[in-house]
Parts: sequence; structure tokens; C-alpha cells
Amino acid sequence: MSSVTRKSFQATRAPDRQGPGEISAKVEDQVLPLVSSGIARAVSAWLGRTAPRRRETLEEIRIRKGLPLCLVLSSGDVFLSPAGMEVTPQESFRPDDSEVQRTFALFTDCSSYAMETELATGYVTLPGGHRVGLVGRMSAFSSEKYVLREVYGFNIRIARHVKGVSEKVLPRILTGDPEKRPRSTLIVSPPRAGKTTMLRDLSRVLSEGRSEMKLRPCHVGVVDERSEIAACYEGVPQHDLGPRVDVLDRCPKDMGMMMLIRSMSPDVVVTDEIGGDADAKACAEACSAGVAILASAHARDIEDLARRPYSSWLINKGYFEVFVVLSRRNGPGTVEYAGPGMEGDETGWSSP
Amino acid sequence: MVVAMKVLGSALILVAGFLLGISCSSRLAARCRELDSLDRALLHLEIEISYGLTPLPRALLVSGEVAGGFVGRVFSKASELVGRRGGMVPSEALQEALAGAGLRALGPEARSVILEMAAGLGTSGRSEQIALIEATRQRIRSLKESAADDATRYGKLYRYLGILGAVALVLLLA
Repeated sequence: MSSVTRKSFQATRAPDRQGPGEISAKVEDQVLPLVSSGIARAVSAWLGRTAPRRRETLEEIRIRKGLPLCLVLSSGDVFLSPAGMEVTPQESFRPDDSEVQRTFALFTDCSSYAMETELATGYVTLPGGHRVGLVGRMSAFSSEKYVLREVYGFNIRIARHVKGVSEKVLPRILTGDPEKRPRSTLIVSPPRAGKTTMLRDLSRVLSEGRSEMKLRPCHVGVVDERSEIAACYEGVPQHDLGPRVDVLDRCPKDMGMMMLIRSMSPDVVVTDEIGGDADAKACAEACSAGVAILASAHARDIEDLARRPYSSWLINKGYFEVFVVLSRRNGPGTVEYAGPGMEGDETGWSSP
Repeated sequence: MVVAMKVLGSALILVAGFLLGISCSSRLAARCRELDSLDRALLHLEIEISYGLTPLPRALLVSGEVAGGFVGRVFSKASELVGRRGGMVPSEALQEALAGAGLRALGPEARSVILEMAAGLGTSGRSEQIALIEATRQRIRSLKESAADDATRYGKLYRYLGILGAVALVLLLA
């Protein structure tokens, strides 16, 4: 992959993410009311005694039954005592079973029967778009499906809506025509590098349009299978995705993309984490329908992506015209590359 | 004047005895109505969970609206307290809603049946929830039958006892 054109974009740090106190306010208002009182006290005390700049780097809260309560900051992990002090894992607060079960009940709105699909996939989404990964004991739901019956731990990922994060990437995904329009783009990165945040901001910008860039506002359709892009809560998107957005919430990607194209005539379809043959085929079908696709996929870089059968097929067929590679090298959202694929390489993934 | 006072006192005792008998009798009838209303609320809760997969706070609210009356108020209050919005688990929410509403005619047995159900409400899959509510409804129906028996058997008795007790008291005092 030495011939990959990597000079089209140099590594850049994402712009400042949010106003002061935004993350701590989200945690206080949207997450802590849903966790058991012992955990809430420890995290709230930590937020209170930590410098604003440091607490805004909070990315995840990891709760595990009988194991230390852990906060993941962009600079590393910290363990909390019951009073919210940063301590060693040995001295840390360890939530017991009743605290974990109470937290699980509140995360599921005391309605785990209504969330069997999410529990089968191992996550739930909280109001505000915070995604909670779950681990525990799986048991058979049907002959083919398994569902979590007992939950032992959570990973709460704090949702960030970073307006302006796509500013530097945007010119790269637009066509060179006098009247700009978006091209099909695949955003690639390992977990926690800002794919969803980038998709969210691109959706907003495309939906609003940019007169200075001669970008007309687009009708954006979002297939939000995990309810993470728009974070719909009771049908209302919790994130600002612009004025021309239609969201199909919790709909499987392969089904939702064509549903949106047929029913809502979008200019752009946005979806998260392509992860299998069915998703790849749906992307291909949508691209062939004359609609630009903005999607994301888990991979370290484009070479890594090209090793998987389904994504290699998508790349080979040239369905995606632009690739954006993100990393955490300079913090989440570091843009390693943004531009078209190479021309005439051995996999031919930029050829039609 | 003394005779007039005696007549007035006797009349008051008779009225009080009559009202006491009516009150005891109507409490038995009210218990039947409230258990019936609870059974209806549970039926609608089961429907909301099994067919609508409605989240518990909303399912409780809808069931409460259908049931109306005392049970309706308990379910509506619990719907405000339970889940993400209220921050309580179902057992806490229903316990607080019942405590706030007072025992009324529903009786302690029905209250303990509701709280036993609440301990398992919302914590398992759809089929387990349906089984839980169905088992609770069976227990409530059994309480309802026993309450209906009591109302038939003791309703008239309490009314007669009320008035006859008052007559006896008047005679004793006279």
C-alpha cells in the first residue's frame, strides 16, 4: 500500500471540543441520575474536585461488579475511592451486585423486555446519546440469538457533539463541480477515535449547507441502527443534525438505507459502523441509486480495512470515493488522512 | 325537655349505628371494586408489555388510566417515579405510590401481592414478564372471589348489626 496517496491531508488535531463544563454537565445531568447512589457519589465528587480542563477529558465510566470503579480519560485511566479521590485499584470503590443490578434497571428504564434486541447486541443508548456497553452472562434467546440475562459490568461512553470537527474534512468530501455536492465517504478508525462524532458533524453541515463553499443544503437520511448518531429519545434527536434530517432509529442498516432512499428521497445517507456482507451490499445498492453515502468502519487504516472480505469488495468496486482515516494520536478525532483512494493500486479500490 | 333530649340522643345513636353498618358493608363492596380494577390494570399492563413492548413507565401510566379510581392513581404515581425519569426501580416506585395513596379498601394482602410482582417487574424478557403478571392476576382473582364472598355474606350482616346494635344501645341507655 505504499502507493496510497497520503499527502492529501496532514495529521491535524481536532478543534476544541466543547464549552467549559459541557462534559461534566452531561455526566451530572444525564448519566449520574441513572447509576446507583454509591457510584454517583464517587463520580460526582471526582467531578467536583477535578480541574475543569482535566474533567472535560472524561471519555468513559467503567463499572464492573466487584472490581474497581474506573474512569477513562484521554490521558489514561483513573480509579476512584467512594469519596471520589483518585486512588490505586486496590483502594478503589468496588460496586456490589445490588448496585450493578439497580444501575442496569435504570439504564433499561426498568424495561429490559422492551430492549431484548439491544441486549442481544450488547449495548443500550441513554438519553443524550451516551452508549452503554454491557457484559454479563449470555443465554439463548431463540435458536439463533443470544441475549444478556445477567449483567456484570458497563462501559458508559460519554457522547460528544463537537460542532466544527468536520470543517477541515468537508472540502475533501465535496466534488470539484462549481455546485458542490458530497461524495460517498468512508470514515475509518479504531474504536474511540471519533468516527461517530465526525459523522454527526458532517450530517449537520450537509443539512445546513454552506453558501461560502457553494454547498447547497442537502436532505440527509440517517440510518441510526444503534441510536448513537442522532441519539433519538422518544423519537426526538438529542443531537443537532441540522434542519433537513430524517432519522430511521434503531433500524438495521441493510434494510434502512433502501427504505430511506425509497421513502424520503435523501441526497445523502449517513450510517454508522458497516460490519458485514449485508451492510456492504446495502451500501453498494445505495451508492448505485445515485445517493452519496457517509459511513464509518472499524479499522486501523485503509490497508487494515482492505483485508476484510466485505470492505475489500466495497473498496475494489470503488463505491466510496473518499476515505477519512482518524486516530487518537493527538487526541480523539485526529485526522490522519482525508482524500480519495490511490489510483491504479493492486487492489484497484478507487477504480469504478 | 329531658324526654326531648332522650329522643334526640336515641335518634342520633340509631343514625350512627345505621351509618356504621353501611360503612362496613360498603367497605367490603369497595374492596371488590378495587380488586376488580387492579385486575383490569394488570391485564392492560400485560397487553402493553406483550404486544406493545411499551416501556414500563408508560405501560403503568396507560394501565392506570384504564383502571381509574384508587388503583389508577397508584399506577399513575408509580409511572412518574419509576425508571430513568423518576430514578426508582419498580418495587420502590410502587411501594411509595401505595404508601402515598394509603391502604384504602384494597387490603394488605393485595398490597403485598403487588409488591411481590414489582420485585420482578421489568427485569426479564417478555415471556417471563407475561408469566409474572399472569401469576399475579391469578392471585388477585382469588382475592377478588374471596372478597365477593365476604361482601355477599357479611354485607347485609354489617348493616343489620349496625342498626340492631344501635337499638340495643338505646334500650340499655333508656
